[in-house]
Amino acid sequence: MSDEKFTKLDDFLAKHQPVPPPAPQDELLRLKNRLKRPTPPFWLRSPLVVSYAVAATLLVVWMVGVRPFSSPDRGEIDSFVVSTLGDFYSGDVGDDGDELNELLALTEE
Amino acid sequence: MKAINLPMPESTELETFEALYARHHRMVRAVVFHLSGAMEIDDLVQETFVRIWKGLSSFRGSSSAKTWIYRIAVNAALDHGRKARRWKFGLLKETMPDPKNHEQGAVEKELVRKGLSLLSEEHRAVVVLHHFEGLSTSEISEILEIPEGTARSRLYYAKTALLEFLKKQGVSL
Repeated sequence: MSDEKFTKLDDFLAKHQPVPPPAPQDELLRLKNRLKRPTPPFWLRSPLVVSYAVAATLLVVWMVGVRPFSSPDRGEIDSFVVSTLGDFYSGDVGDDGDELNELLALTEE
Repeated sequence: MKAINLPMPESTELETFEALYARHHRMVRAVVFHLSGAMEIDDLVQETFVRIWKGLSSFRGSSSAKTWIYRIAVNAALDHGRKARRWKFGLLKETMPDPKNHEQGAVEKELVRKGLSLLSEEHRAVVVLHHFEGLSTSEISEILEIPEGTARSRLYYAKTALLEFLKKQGVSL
């Protein structure tokens, strides 16, 4: 390193070194109090971690089928209709279908 | 909420901690001030000593206590800078010329601070440790955990950049 190039800079930095503001009188006391204070677990210290945890929980709830905020989806409705109609046309409508059978008979007449 | 308590200090450990604080708190304060500005200085000094406290039981003395504390202070300041990225904004706010400030050399000091703020964190750390703390490049390489040649080259490039900046500002060097 060419020292001569920086001689004046070195002098300038030594002469004009910024000075930090003085420490508070009670700095050590505050420090000791901080050391005694309980520290929250690391995963609660970051809002981002909390957000991820909430998102992951909602995802798991959704995946196991609880789906607290959703209405029945189209697939469920379709399968309900298909199975009900299938039962009806195959005549396997049980007790609940008696009225429908009577209505159908009257229509045919 | 279940809280994790820091291990309560043994009396000897607390005495050691207090001795370290008494001996090194001015140096810690100066390092975090030069690296991060005055706005967060109290918080960063506290953060540094909390890290020292937590690491006290695992400190094996492979380096000197002074080197170890310097390393913690530098890392605390650099971590803060990386997280917050407020350094430049904070510094520029702080360095607005104050017409009431008639302190001898105040303008030059502000120029030095502004020049430092324009350096990268790595370069700034080397300049601060060498010029303001009077450490050799060998000591700096140990603190920053970099080869001594790297410390030397960082110092060279940082000083070149500072020199250019100060000349542009009209300082005759």
